[in-house]
Amino acid sequence: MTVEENIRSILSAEFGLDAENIVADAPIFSAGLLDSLNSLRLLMQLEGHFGLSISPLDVSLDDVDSIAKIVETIERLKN
Amino acid sequence: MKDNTSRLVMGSLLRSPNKPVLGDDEICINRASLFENVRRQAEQFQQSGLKPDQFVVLMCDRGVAFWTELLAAWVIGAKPICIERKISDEHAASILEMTNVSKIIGADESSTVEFAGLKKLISTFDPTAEAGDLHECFSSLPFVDDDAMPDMAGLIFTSGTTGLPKGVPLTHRALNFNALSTGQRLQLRPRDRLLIATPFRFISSISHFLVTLMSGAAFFGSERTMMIKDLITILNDLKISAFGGSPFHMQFIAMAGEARLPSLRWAMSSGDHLRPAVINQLADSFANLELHVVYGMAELGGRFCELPPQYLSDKAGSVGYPINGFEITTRRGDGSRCDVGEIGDIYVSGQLGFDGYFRNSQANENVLGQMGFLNGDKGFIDEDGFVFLSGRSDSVFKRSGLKVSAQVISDALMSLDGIRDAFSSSEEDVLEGRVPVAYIAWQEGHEMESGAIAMELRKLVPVNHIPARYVSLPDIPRTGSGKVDRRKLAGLIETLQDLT
Repeated sequence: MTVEENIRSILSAEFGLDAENIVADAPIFSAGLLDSLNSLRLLMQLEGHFGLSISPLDVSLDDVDSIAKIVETIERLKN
Repeated sequence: MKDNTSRLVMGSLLRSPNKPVLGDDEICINRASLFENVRRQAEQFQQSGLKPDQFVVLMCDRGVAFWTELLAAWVIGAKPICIERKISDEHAASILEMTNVSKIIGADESSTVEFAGLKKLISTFDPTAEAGDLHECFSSLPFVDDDAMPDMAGLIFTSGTTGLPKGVPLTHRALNFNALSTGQRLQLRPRDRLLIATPFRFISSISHFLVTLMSGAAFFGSERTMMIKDLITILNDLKISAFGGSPFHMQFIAMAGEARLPSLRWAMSSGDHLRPAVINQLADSFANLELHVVYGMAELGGRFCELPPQYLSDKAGSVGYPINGFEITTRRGDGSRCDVGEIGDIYVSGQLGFDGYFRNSQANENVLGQMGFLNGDKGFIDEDGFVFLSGRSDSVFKRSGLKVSAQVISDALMSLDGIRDAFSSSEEDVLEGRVPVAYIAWQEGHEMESGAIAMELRKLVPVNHIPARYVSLPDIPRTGSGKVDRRKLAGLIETLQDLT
C-alpha cells in the first residue's frame, strides 16, 4: 500500500471516515470530520503504522488537515 | 436596582482605557474599544426593534464580536440564545418552537435553513472604534429601566447527549453571583491575560469571560480546532499567563511544559475531574503553575465547586469543595444522606438561581425538589468535605470533558443491519479519560470490521460517541428484565475476540 492508501485505511478503520471518498486536499479537522480530541489518537496511529516517532509538540493542525498534508508530513518525517 | 450583568462587568472596567481587555486569534481590543462597541451595538439593537425581554439568536464562532454583542444585548435587557454555527436543523427548529425568537445576529450562508425566516440584525463591531471617555460612554449606554429589565439573561443549551438539548435559562442574578463568588476563589490578577479554547456557548466560557473581566484581567477566546503545537503558538503569541480548558487541554499543557510556555502561571481545568496522573505531570513540568480544578454546570450559572491548588496533592482526583453560597449533599435512592465516603446521587442546594429547564416541566420534575438540584452525577464526600465524582446515574460519562451517552451508542448500534444485540459502556483511557466501548452480538454471517461499524455510526451519533474499541460476543448476557447482566458480561469479556 502507498502512504496515502495507508492513511485512508487508518481514517476508515480507526475513525469511521468514508476515507475512500475524501478528496486528498479536502480539510479533515477544520471541516469537523475529526476534532482536536482525535488528534493525539491519529498521531499514535500514524506512529504505529509507519514506524515513526512523532512528537505531538512538532505537529500543527496545518500538518494534518487533509490526506495530502498528512502524506507530506509522513514523507517529511521519514526523511 | 435590578441585576444587569453588563452593568456589573462594565462598571468594573471604568479605568485604564488603553488596557487590553478582549481578544481572539486575530485581534485584541482595549477597554475604550469595548465600551464604544457595546454602545454602538446596543443602539443598533434598539434601532432594529429588539426590545427588553425579547430573545435574539446570537451565533458563536465569531471571535470578539460575539462578546461585545452579548454585553450589548444585556444592556438593553434582551435575552441572547447562544448557539454554535453548525447547529443541527432539528435543534434549530426546536429553539424556534420553544422561544418564538424572531431575530438573529451573526448568521451567514452556512447557517441552518431553519433560521432563514429570522430577521438578521447588523453587527456594528469595529475593532478600531474607541470611546473618548469611559465614564461618559458608560453613562450613555442605553441600560434598560428596572421595570422592563427581565430576570433572565438568556438561554444556553445542554449537550443533548440523551435527546434534544435542554434549554437552560441564565439569570443575571445567578451569573453575577457566580462570577463574584468564583472570582474570589480563582484569584486572577489584573495583569493576567487568560485564554480559553472552548466553545463560547458553554457556560464555562461565559463564566471565564465574566470572572476575567471582573478581575480586571484581559480575556482571549479561540474556538478553532487546535493541535498541541497550535495551542503552544497561540499561548506564546498572545503572551497568555492564564489558561482555562478541559482536562484534555491540561494534558496538552503538561506535555508542553514550562520551557515551551514560559509565561503561563495559572491554569484552570473544568468539565470533569482531573486525573492524578495529569496533575503529577503538570507538577513535574511546571515549577510554579497555579492549578485550579473546578466543577460546574450550566444549570447553576457556572462553577459551584473548586479544588484549590494547595490541595492538589492531598485531594488528587477530587473536584474540591463548594464555593460560597452552594451546598452539596450525596443521597441514597430513598433521599437519605449518604455517610462519609459512601457513593450516592449528588444534589446541589443554596443560591441556585435555577428554577428549571426552559419549558420542560417533565425534566424539571425529575431534577428539582426540596433537597435541591439533582445534577445527574454520582459521587462521594470525604471526611474533609471534598467531593469526588464516580460517574453518572444515567449511563452518561465524560470523554475529554464532553458528555457521551452509552445509551445513545447502544441504540445507534441496535439500529444497524446485521446486529442481533449490542451494548455500550466505557473504560479508562490514558488519552481521553474515559472512552466508549461497544459490545456486539452479530447475526450469523453479518460481522463487520470496526471501521465499517464506525462509518455507519458516524451517520447517527456525534464524533465523540464513536467507540474506541469494538468487541464481538456470541451473546449479550441479560437479566430476566432485559437489563445487561454486567457480571456475566465481565466473565464473557475475558474470552472475547477484539475486532480491532
